[in-house]
Amino acid sequence: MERRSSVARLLSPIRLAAGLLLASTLSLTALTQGCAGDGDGAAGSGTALPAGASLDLELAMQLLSQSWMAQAAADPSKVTELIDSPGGEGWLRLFHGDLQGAEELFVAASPTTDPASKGAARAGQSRVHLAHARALLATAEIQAEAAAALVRYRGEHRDQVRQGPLDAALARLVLQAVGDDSPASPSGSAASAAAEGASAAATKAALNALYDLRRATAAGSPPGPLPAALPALYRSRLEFARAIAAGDVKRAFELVTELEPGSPDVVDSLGQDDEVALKFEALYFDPALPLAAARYHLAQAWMLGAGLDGPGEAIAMAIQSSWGGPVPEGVRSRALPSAGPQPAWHAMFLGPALDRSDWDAYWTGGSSGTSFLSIVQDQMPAVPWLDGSTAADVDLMLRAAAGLEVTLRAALVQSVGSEGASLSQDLGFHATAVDRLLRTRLRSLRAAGSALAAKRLAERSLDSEPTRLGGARSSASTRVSYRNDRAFLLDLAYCLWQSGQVDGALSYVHPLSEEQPHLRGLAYYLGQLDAARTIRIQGKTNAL
Amino acid sequence: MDERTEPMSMAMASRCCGRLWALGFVVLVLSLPARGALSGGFEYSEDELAYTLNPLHESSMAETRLNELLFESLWGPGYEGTAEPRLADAYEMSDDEMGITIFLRENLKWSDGEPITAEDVVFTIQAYQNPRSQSPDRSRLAFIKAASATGLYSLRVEFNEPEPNPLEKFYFKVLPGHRFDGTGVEPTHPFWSDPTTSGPYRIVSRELGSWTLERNPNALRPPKFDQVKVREMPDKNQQVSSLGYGYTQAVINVPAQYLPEVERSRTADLIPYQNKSWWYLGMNHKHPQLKKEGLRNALARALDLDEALALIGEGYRISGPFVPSSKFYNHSASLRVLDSDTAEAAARMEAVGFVLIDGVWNWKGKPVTLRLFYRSGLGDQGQTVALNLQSQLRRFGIEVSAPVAMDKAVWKERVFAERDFDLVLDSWSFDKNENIYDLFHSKGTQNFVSYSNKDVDSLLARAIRETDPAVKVSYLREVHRLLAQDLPYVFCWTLRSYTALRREVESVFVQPFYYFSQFPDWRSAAQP
Repeated sequence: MERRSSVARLLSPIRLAAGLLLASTLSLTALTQGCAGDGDGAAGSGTALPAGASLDLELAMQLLSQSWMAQAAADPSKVTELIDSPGGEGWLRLFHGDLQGAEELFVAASPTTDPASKGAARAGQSRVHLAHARALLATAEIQAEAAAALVRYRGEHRDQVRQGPLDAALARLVLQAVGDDSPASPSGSAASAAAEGASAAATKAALNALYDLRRATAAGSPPGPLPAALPALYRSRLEFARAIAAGDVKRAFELVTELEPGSPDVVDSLGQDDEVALKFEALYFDPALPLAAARYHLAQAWMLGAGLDGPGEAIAMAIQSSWGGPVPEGVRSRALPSAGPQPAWHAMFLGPALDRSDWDAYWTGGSSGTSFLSIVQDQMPAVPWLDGSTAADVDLMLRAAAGLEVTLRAALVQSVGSEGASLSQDLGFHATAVDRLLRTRLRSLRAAGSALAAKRLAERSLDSEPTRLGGARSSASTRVSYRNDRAFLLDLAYCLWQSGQVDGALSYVHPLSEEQPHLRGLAYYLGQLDAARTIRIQGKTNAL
Repeated sequence: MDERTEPMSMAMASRCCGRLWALGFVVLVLSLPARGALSGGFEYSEDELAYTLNPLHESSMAETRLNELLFESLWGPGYEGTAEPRLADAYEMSDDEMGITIFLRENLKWSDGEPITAEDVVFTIQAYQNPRSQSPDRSRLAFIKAASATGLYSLRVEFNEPEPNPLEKFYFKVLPGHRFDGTGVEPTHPFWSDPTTSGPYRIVSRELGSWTLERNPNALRPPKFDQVKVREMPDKNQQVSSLGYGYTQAVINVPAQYLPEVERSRTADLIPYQNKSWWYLGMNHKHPQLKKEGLRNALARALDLDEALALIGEGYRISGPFVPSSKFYNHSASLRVLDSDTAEAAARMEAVGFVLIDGVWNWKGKPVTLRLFYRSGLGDQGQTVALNLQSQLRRFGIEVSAPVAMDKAVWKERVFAERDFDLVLDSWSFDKNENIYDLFHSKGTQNFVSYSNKDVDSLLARAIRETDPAVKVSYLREVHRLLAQDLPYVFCWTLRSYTALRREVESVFVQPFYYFSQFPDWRSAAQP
């Protein structure tokens, strides 16, 4: 009975959400009947798939046999055990993307003060840090690109924009961060130079020194001291970044409380409009801070999870592949000891990757392990999973994905008991598997510059259902559903931006930035790029 | 029959029919098998049908969506979000950026077979700019000083100020000049229901509660679907049911409470639909008491908007005229959304001279009474919220009459033209430009509340002219701050916005705001 109730706790929020309004019963019936009518799987398409575009049930079972989904469905008692362990309800929060709630529950189980007996809570807390880290790494990357796009826009429209005294120095730093280490831009207009006060001149010199320092470091020189005239907050953030990069975790932990994430590193004055008493500013957010914050989370994840007997190896691999170089000894040496044997799938449970090989591919971008997408491609050769990018290719992929989802659903409930079947169906394990497929392809399309195709795959795999359990306050009221992992939401935002829907990108990034202040820099740059698209256009306004 | 009354009766009749159909729908859907795959047609539902098919007078999202299917513009939003040529073939900008010569694609025809020429474009510009046309989009074309045809397929457009990137300003739909007698086109001109089109479709029939479109044989962008039908279904449950059974292929806006069902059905995709929209309670500044900022502020504090919002689902409260993810939204800590505070509201009422007698607020010895209207396009949600607001204000001591729903025709007449209202509940939707100039500038074409603040006027004008994005953002954030103080509206909330499309519809690309802009490329999976 107790066992049953534990699994039920995992399911209850979903069932709760499903039992909504009386009025929706009819629509649910209609939708279900619509689905039932589709029979063989190309859900709703009514169109037969070509040979080689579907998967045999037995083969599907075989492909999923090592997945955490199959293992959880095959033995729900293991899931019950996990949820009943100290802090176990954190897994429920993790499933719903409530990272803060999950961490609070895992921390409450005191895994660090009693590390030997709290393996499940340690694995869970480690997973929370990994989720934060992956989102922050994506943030740093997209923010650097967005900042560079803004600098290029302002450079191309030099006669239409105001320039502050720090404009050129900041532009060089921004472009340097994306590998555009071109010679120095002109140092600003005569007007801005004249308006430049002593303080601005000192900051400008410090920014130029920082640029030179980074250039030298990239060329192999040992890092020199940070310029003293940098704004104090920016300097302490850079010190934090240095400390964590070097593995000086103690120093990083001291500095982390002083970072004031969300505020800019540098503010450049763009003058004022006296008639309406407004001052104008350009803000600078260095991607070094979200990158350092990601490493901070990776260090925490290592401490909690790398030493675990079972999931530890997978957790360590994820950190090693994300650090951006060898994990420093100062981080490695902090790993807590084993807490006794645990199932290895705890490292992946309720997460986006299916099994260990897919996990490796997820964290390394495909350079290690074999992604579920690659395996499916081998078995479904008629679908251009790995190289299709045209609209017709994407249509075929989506049609095949709909069919595959039905097959995977069946595969996950074959040969398991009723409780395992319920667990699998109600938590949508089959949908998670198909999402992984589409999201893997999304990333490669994104990397290849096919943002439009990537956007369509993202839209199909987006879970739009509002998070009902915890999460940020805005989860229910904004488009963000934290049931999607945050790194995917950032991928989606990137695709929207790249396909010209900057405002669409902001509709994800802004709510995320309310939860995670490190995203405010990205929100700022996207906002400026979006505003640039509205210059001198009056636009259209309608009633709803 | 008076032409002016015809659209109204048409809309009212269609609404009656829609409700009757809703009653029969439960029986209908339970007795019929699922339709299955699409044939050559595409059907979708709207809360309220388009009222006019004349782009000059288009003022609702339903009309914008339908007109995307019926008309072409010179340039339109492309897949990458930039302007792609439609009727235009090429252009030459003058060196001083004060003018542009536009060359049209040659040999294009209207749906009636007449050629599409530069004279049509010139006529369209003049019709939009003619005050007699009463176009809500008149100010969108204010950047044009003059337009003249220089050949059958070429025209010269002169600007009032230098325009470095003017192409997106030519997104307005082009009209067939030969259908009109002059450039002053009144809303009652028969074109509203019997248009000659240049887009992928033309009108084939209009029945009660629906419009049916068929392929335009002369279309520049021939569509894959032979026919499109739009049905009016004010009931969202009905819309979602129809989608589930495959009777329709799209629900334009899926309310939050239906998202889980649609999500789990796996028969339809939920696609984010960006049309930055927010709800508001407008207050008539011509009203002798509502013109007092103190009263407006008191009303805003007397209302518990969270309570009203909870009745229709979940949304994001706002403090000003932008959605919270907008670059123009002012997130300053001093601009938090107003929480309900009836004590503070009462204090503000007293401060401007109102007196509470027996639980009712009085002005110069007479009880304050207000009339509340809402636009029927808000559907059931509008009615629910309006009733709740009425109830809340009554509890506070202000007599508010029973909320009255107005269809588009009555709304335009009574609210926009005659300004015969006290409080109105409605919502606005914006394209990426989030143009609030016409809403809050004292001379704005959609400033029906008669709001006037010279500082706001000045900032809005500056924002329109500004070429630096950082500076434009600052101007509009300041406008937000001022509007949050002045409260021409009680700014309510923005709702999550998803559209649902059956999975058998393929090659789907939903443009922000311009939903059907890429519709010619959409196809059925059943099509070869």
